[in-house]
Amino acid sequence: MNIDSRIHERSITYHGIYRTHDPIAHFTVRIKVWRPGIIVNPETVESPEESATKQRRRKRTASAGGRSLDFSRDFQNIQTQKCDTLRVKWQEKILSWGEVLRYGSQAGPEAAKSDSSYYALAQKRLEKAGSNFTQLIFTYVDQDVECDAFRRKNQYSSPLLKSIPKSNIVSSKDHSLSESSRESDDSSTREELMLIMADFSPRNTDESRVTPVLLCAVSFDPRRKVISVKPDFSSSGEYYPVKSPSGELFHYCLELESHLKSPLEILKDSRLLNEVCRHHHEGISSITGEEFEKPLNPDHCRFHFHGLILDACKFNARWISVRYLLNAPEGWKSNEEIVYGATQWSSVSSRGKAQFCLPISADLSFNSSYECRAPRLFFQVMSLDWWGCQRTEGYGWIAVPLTPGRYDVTVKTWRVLFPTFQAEMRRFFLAASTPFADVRAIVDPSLNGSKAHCWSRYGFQTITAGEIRLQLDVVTQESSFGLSLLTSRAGVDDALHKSIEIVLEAFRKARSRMYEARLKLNQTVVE
Amino acid sequence: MKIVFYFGGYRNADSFPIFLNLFPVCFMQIFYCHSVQMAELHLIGQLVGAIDFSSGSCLFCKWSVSAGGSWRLLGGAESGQTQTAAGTMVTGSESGQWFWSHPIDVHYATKGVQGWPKLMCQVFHLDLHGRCVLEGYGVTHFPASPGLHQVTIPCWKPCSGSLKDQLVKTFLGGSVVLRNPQMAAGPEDRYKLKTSGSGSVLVEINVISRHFNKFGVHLG
Repeated sequence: MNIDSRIHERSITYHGIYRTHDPIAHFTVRIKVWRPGIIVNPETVESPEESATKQRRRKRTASAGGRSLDFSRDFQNIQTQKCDTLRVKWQEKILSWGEVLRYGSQAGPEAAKSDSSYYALAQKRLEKAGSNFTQLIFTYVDQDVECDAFRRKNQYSSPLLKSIPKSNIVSSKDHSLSESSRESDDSSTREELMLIMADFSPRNTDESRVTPVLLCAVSFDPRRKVISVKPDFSSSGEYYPVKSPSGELFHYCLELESHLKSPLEILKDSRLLNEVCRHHHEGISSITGEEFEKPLNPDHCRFHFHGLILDACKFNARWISVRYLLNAPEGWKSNEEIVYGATQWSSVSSRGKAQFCLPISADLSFNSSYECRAPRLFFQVMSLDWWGCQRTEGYGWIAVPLTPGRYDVTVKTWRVLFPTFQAEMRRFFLAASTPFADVRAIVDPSLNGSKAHCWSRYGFQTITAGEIRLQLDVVTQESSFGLSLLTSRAGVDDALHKSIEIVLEAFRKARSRMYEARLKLNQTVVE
Repeated sequence: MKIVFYFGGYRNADSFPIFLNLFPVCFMQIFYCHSVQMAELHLIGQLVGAIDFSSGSCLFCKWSVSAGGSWRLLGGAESGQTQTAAGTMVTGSESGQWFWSHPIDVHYATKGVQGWPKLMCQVFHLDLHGRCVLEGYGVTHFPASPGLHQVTIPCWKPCSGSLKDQLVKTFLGGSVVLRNPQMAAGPEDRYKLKTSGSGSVLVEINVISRHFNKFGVHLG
């Protein structure tokens, strides 16, 4: 009996609902109760009958082999460890020890009809087990008063029934009348209930003090042919915990022994599931439309990014604002002519932080035949002083990440330091500072009027400015996603993907040429 | 109570012949290939709380979720308001922290990636006289990549420019608000505003995407 790691606990709140066309009499459930830690694997737990027959078999083999083995001790061991296995059929009455004593003793004329039938059961039990009654599990069937009490207590009805409204929305009939007729209808086709209980108390306790523990409640709706089981049947390796009134922990599992579904029913159900799924997808596509947005050009990749300019810090100014500009290199196309904008003027807090929270977004497409160069985001931080003068506080740029995902980016900025003291004074007092006509010039010198082939920043003094924090989300869409999906499934690389495209293109060209030739031939024949 | 439905007979998988069990599964997969499935996005999470707001002991947040034209809301509330939370001041600083743990659960279907869903929040302070004073506007895009994300939204509030407004604010309380709060969600006309940063709203979001791969969209 080693500890099996596959076994795990399952929440007792699971509720199983099953539909069946099989007669309910075929319903059989197997319950195993054991104390944790001692018998871990429920598969090894045998019912007393099973173990008894095994014993007999073993004894026979033992006597044949001439070996004497003490099997009874093994059996006793299981019994004292308080474990029990039982097969229960639908509405099969299994008496508890208390009931055996109660029904076994009184069988007079005052006993009810059900009691008289239980008398026979109790007698049988007493004969069989005698005083050595070790069974934990017993049942309450539909006609028992305990079942009625349970029903009243829990207002027990299957969730399927609950979902159906009590009266029609539009009803011309008298409400009270329809309600009473419904009640009578309910009583004729009400749910049948069966409770599987356990009695963990020692055998010598008084019956009035025994508090049985509910293991499982099974109900059957004959009209809808729905069985609801609470808790649900546990699959292999799963168990439910239960505590005895004395606080001892037990584990139990429930297994369905009968086949509630025929293969035809399984097929029917899966068809139903497919229908449900199809309806779901049809519903969605009827709302959104069936065509997903494609890149503008079939041989373009789509590149979408959205983000936020969160905040800027370490700037030495009273008010600051960030201006941004997206520069898409050759090969990139944008829906909008130019993507740019500016944040509000935000006051710099005592901690040197200015919060903007400005959303930016761009939708670009990229022609894969060009050399891949990332689009760039340029930033210019402006400051505003008390007099309303604007100064450039910093320049910065980033290359937009090309792979999809979320990015937290910090843009470091710098500003030009003027070579002379006078120029700095001019900047301070008059805000006279326009080193770049175009912010893109900080990367591309040709935009600043420079005709130099190679841009040297020699002799160009800058001073460190603050930082801008960005948040970017990048989403990409492939150009020919139908084909790409195929190739990715087959594990074919990009090169093969391209070669397939080339072959397809050649085929298309050849076909169009053939059509032309055929047309020409037709014309010459006509002429 | 959790209700579990079993439509197929897979529960008793070992009790049936193998081919009978496999058959419905194969059938289902063939079927799936032919139905149209649009991309879906689940955004499940919570407005955790707020930090760094300097004034106000009681804060609440009005939030709304918006998305572009190609997005359709399938389920969940698009807007809501949190409870009013009395915050605790962090020792040694002027700021405090407020927790709302307000759930957000929206389900979108889409036919395009443009107009990715955004979360907009407006934080208010409930003062002693029962007035709602604006503490900040904030907006964020929901993360595109699936998974759990901790998002911080820096908030700002408009500054009253004139001396008179400032005097009124100092002595009578209250705040300047945007005529159209939706303006805070977009980048347009921001340059006309003068604002000051207030605090940050913390959001925790789980992103679950579905069928985006089918259309060649990579979310990362």
